[in-house]
Amino acid sequence: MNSFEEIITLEKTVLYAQRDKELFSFYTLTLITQEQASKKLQKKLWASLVLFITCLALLFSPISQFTGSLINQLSAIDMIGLFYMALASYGVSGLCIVLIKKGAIGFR
Amino acid sequence: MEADEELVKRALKGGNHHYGVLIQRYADYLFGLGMRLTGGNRELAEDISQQSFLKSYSYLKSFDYRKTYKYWLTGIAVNCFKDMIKKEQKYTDLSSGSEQSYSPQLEGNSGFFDLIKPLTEDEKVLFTLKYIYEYQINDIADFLDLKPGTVKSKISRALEKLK
Repeated sequence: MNSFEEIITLEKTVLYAQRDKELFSFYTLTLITQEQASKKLQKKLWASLVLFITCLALLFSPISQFTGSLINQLSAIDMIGLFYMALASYGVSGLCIVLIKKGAIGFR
Repeated sequence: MEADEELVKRALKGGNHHYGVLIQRYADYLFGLGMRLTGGNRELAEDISQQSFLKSYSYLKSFDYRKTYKYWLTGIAVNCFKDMIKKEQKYTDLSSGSEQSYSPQLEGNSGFFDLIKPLTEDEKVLFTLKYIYEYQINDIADFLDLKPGTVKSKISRALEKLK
């Protein structure tokens, strides 16, 4: 048992040194950076794949009927009428602002 | 000298070079642990050390600041060693029957390596952590995800083997 304790005591004093610590650290950091880059790339690939599949699903699913009818309805709107309506409403609101400003000056 | 925990925080913020300081700080410690666990096999010890640093970095977010970085790293290294042994066993199972093409170069205190030779890999881990690094039973149980009672009985079994 004595020799057992001696061996243990001796082993505790032994110092093991990693060869070329700076190079080891540099190489490990390079591996870490490499792993991070591959993870990022994987994430991007997954996101692109999901996006691609979603687009395909939208194109080939019954939703395409719905989107088609929506586009049809939008194209049926009278754009010239809409333009005149917007012009008239902007004109009226502009006139109102001018009148309010004049009224405010008159009160002073 | 900056505290380990501060370096961990900085590395998490995206400064890999801060992690480099931690690597240099604990390279010898992990290498020594690897040498003792592998019975003086320098190549394996270096592999364990590197794998431990890589794993430690990928789990850095889950680092528990109530414990020291060295303690946390020790747990990772021990589990890396166990994983490596499992892989090696698989490899030797596959190549059983054929002659060994690689003989590891053994270095260090041969007295200690001869002493722990009769122990199984698990027992070597327990024995080294308990008698060389003087970790408490509860700590060893924490590293290996075992019950303290199991650790105690395994250590006493290992000691019986060595008598």
